[in-house]
Amino acid sequence: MTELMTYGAYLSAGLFCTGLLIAVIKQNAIFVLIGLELILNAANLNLVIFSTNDPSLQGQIAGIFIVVVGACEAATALAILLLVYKQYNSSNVKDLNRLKY
Amino acid sequence: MIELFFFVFSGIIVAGLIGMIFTRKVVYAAFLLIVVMIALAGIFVLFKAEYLAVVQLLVYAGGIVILLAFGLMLTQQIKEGATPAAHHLIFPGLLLFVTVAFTFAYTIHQGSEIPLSYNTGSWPDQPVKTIGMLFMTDYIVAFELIAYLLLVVLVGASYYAKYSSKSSVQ
Repeated sequence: MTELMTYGAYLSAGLFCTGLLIAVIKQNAIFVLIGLELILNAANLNLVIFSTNDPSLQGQIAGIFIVVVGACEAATALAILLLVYKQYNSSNVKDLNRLKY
Repeated sequence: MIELFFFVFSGIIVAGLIGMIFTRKVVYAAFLLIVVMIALAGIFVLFKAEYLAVVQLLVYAGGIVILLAFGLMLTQQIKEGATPAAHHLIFPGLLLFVTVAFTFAYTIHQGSEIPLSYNTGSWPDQPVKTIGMLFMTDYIVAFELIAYLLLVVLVGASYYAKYSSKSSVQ
């Protein structure tokens, strides 16, 4: 790997770990969603880095699919979050402790 | 020159991530997410993925963060003096962070010595045209499937959002 690709891989690993940390330690559900978006972007960055010298552009195409999947995930999760908020009157993940309301 | 821009964008990303970890306000985190996404798009340009950088700017910085802001407005109560979002599970989270970060750093350090082999060929003159051709030929099944996924998800999300607002009237 070239120098720049190594640094990019470190940056992507940092993005992934920070997304994981945010998704675990935050109590607000929207923070958890932000952490998940960071994890998806870490995967995206890795694909882009390792397809830098690949003329068939496969990594970039997989990256575009990941962006679409991230948009789907955000829309679904926010719809679920609205329903949950209507039921529990809270968006704190610690309050969501009943399977049946 | 590319290294300089890379380190500038990386610094912006790392600063944004640190701010996101320590802030307690969700609005700040959403705006920091916009900054991180824009810097990531810059890094994509440095790694020769211009089209993906534009998609990133449009979809993430323009779409998803706005969606998150709407979710924020619809779900947060505004109370004076209330701490908006506290932390919990700090010790397990830090343990997970350190373990995963150490594993990644060790693996990347080991793998950085390995030379990468690529299929030979020249970089396409018009990468966007090549991407469009690939979408319509080699990746047509995946392209159609992801279009259906997006359609189903958006219809479902709007249906459930409507259901939740109807139940509030009762």
